[in-house]
Amino acid sequence: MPFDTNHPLLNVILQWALILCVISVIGTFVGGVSSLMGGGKRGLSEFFGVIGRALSDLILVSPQRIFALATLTTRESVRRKALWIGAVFLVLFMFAGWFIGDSDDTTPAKAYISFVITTIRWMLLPLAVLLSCWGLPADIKDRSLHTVVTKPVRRSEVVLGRIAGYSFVITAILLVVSVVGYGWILRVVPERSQRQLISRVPRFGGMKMLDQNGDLFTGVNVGDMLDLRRFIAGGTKELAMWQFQGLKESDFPNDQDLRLEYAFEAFRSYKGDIATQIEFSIDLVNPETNQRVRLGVQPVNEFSSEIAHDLKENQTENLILIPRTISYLDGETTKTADLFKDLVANGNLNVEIKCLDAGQYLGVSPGDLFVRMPDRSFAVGYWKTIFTTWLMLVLIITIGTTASCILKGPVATLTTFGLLILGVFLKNGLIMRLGKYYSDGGEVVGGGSVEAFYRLVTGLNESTPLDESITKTVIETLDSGVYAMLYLAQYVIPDISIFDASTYLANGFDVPLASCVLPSLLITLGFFIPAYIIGYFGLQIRELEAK
Amino acid sequence: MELGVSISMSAESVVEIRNLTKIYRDFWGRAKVKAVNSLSLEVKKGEIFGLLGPNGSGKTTTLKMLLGLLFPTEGEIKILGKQAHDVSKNERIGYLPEESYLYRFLNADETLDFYGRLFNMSAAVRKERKDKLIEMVGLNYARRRQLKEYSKGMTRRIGLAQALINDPELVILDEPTSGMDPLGTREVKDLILKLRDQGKTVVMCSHLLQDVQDVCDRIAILYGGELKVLGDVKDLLQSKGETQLITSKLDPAAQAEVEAVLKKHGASLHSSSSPVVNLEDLFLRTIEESKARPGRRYAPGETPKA
Ligand SMILES: Nc1ncnc2c1ncn2[C@@H]1O[C@H](COP(=O)(O)OP(=O)(O)OP(=O)(O)O)[C@@H](O)[C@H]1O
Ligand SMILES: [Mg+2]
Repeated sequence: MPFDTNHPLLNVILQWALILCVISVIGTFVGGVSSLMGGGKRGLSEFFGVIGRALSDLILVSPQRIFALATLTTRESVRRKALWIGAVFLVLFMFAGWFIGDSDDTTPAKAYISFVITTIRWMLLPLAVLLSCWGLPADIKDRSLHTVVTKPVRRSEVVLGRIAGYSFVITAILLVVSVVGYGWILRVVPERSQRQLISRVPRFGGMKMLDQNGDLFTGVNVGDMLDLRRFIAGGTKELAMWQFQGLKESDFPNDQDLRLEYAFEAFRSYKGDIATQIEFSIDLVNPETNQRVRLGVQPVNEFSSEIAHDLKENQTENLILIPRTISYLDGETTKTADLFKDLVANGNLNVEIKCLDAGQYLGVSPGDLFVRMPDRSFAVGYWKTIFTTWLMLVLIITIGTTASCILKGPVATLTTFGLLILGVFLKNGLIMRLGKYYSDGGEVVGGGSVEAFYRLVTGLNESTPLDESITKTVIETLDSGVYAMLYLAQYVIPDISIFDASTYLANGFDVPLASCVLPSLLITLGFFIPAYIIGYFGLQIRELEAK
Repeated sequence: MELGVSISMSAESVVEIRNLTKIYRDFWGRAKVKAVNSLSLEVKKGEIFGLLGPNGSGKTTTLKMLLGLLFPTEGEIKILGKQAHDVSKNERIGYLPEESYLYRFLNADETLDFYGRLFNMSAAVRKERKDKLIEMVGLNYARRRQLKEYSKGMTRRIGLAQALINDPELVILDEPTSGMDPLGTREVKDLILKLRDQGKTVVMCSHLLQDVQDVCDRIAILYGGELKVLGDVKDLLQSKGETQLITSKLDPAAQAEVEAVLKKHGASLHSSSSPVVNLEDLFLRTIEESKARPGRRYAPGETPKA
């Protein structure tokens, strides 16, 4: 769920550190043992010499030398024809988007924004791979790197200089195309849709659903497999409750209204009156005093909302404005309540939604109702999206450069592309799913991949348990090995889809720091450090001469 | 087969090589070529040391191991008191590779500036060194042209300039004069002598024996990766089994009898010394001898060829 705001930052960092530690301990151990076996005591002391030197090489780098190498890399890249062909192609392609606008579309901005960001991402990605994978191998092949390493240049500086140089080139191109893209979006989005260019800042709350008796329940499943929503029955006591937290008066300056935005779905169990919308009621409840204010009744707008979070042509349609002082009916009398004094308790506020039409259903999911904080300008979201794109490109450059420290150009290119494709297509699909099967503790019917294969070959059906035998133990051991590898693969193969913030932007949302920008930054940094170390060793233990 | 000489490790030695062996291997780790075999050498501070040998005898391989570009299969290297893989030694070393492996898209100015930066030189120092070196190698007229437009000799010259950018204590030159015109060759020789006068150490290899004879203090001749001859150029080129007399002008009759009557006639003896062969003779003799008797050091002078 892209709107997941609950981000266990510390866990992630700890997990990363753990994996890095485990890998380096294993690496040191394997290296130590093999050098002990190869060269005895002397081999071992040489091994530790290498490790010690590596530490000082990795840390004591000279910024001036890195800068010189980066400048050289930039010059070298600028001379590459591929770069210019790629850049020109990119700009041309962006203008091809001229034709994508459909005047009937109610959300033209979305199409244009997605187009621009997608084009930038997918055209700069191969450029970054090609740039970073071919430079260093060519440098080694032409032996120009030899002259460099006869100067007091550490191999770590070569790696960093390369990464910095390519990043600089890509940054420059990215800046140019982003400015062009930005201007183009502003120009091409029709006047009437300009207000779709906005960065909404949602504040999500946890949702629970209560049944007739006020007990927790998971809602009614109306049988739509593709829909994540669960339904509450209309005209009953079933309700969906959102618990918002951290609402501060100071976040709404100048007595702004508190805005609730929703995107519910109606499910009609009978046709009913098509001309009238299915309606729901909204109650604001103070979670501590239980003071309750009925805000009134809203239509679902069932015929215009196809996708949740779609920006509506008429924005006010799905927006509930809550003034600071709310007048409401309590029985016969009209009362007033102060939003922040009477209803919000320590930043917490509950909102209850009930469907009013008996026999019909209202579909809700956690992201369907949110407090819309003061909007930010489109530019903010746009440049955040560009920033995460930039992080992705730097990550790719880092991986590409590292690969090119070890492999020749074509192989490095294939490896980098392979990793990226694996990351995007397999991570969320195969690897995750297999990993999940395994992590379910072997309770899966038919077992893990080795067991499944065994069953396939021996013609054993899925549900018959295996005989207790040595074969079973072997199969299960192998399966747990596969699981361990998949588990590791999940973490060491980067998933670049996380860097894609265009969904937020295109749907008129601000790019959230916690669930998009920060993870992107962490992933890039998290890969940078091990990649840097691997790249360094790749160059260091390699005789640059013996090609 | 004990070829390694016992070398006295004096404090002033700049390069010490002990039992250095290099085996090139293929992708599968199988030995392909034994390029250097148990080589032991020492280069003293302030001398010009020449490494000679036919093509493929392991000269370049040896130099590259000194610089840490290649890893020795066996043996030890001390260069400026440090290990070959220690990058900090490069602060005091200048290296001219066999072919000038430079960035062809840079011009002469940018090239020197780039290498200067790698030594963390300040902009002012870089500019000063750059101007001086470009002037010295005579490339002033082409300093703004990209190296890919350079002729071979011009590339050599800029290569030499980059080797000297850091004012090194130890200069390693792999065939410095190859591709240079006679004037350039002359200038390089003068430069090498000047470097020695400044107290620097030069290790070079070259196929131009006359040049080596002119400038080198000591030489080593390699054949098939093995050390065949090592010593002072003056000593090596003296034919110790012979005596050379230079006399005053003799009349034709006396000349005919000179050998027999030299003593009797009492002609004045102007000089008496061992005749000096030229390096070319020594080189060719070493190679022939090594072919004839593989695995043995060649002792020049003592067994002159008829
Ligand atoms: N990268 C390499 N891979 C495999 N063998 C190599 C490599 N470089 C050199 N050799 C081999 O090592 C031996 C010594 O080569 P080296 O370049 O040191 O000779 P050299 O004395 O410098 O010759 P030249 O006078 O031609 O420059 C040769 O047999 C050569 O074929
Ligand atoms: Mg050579």
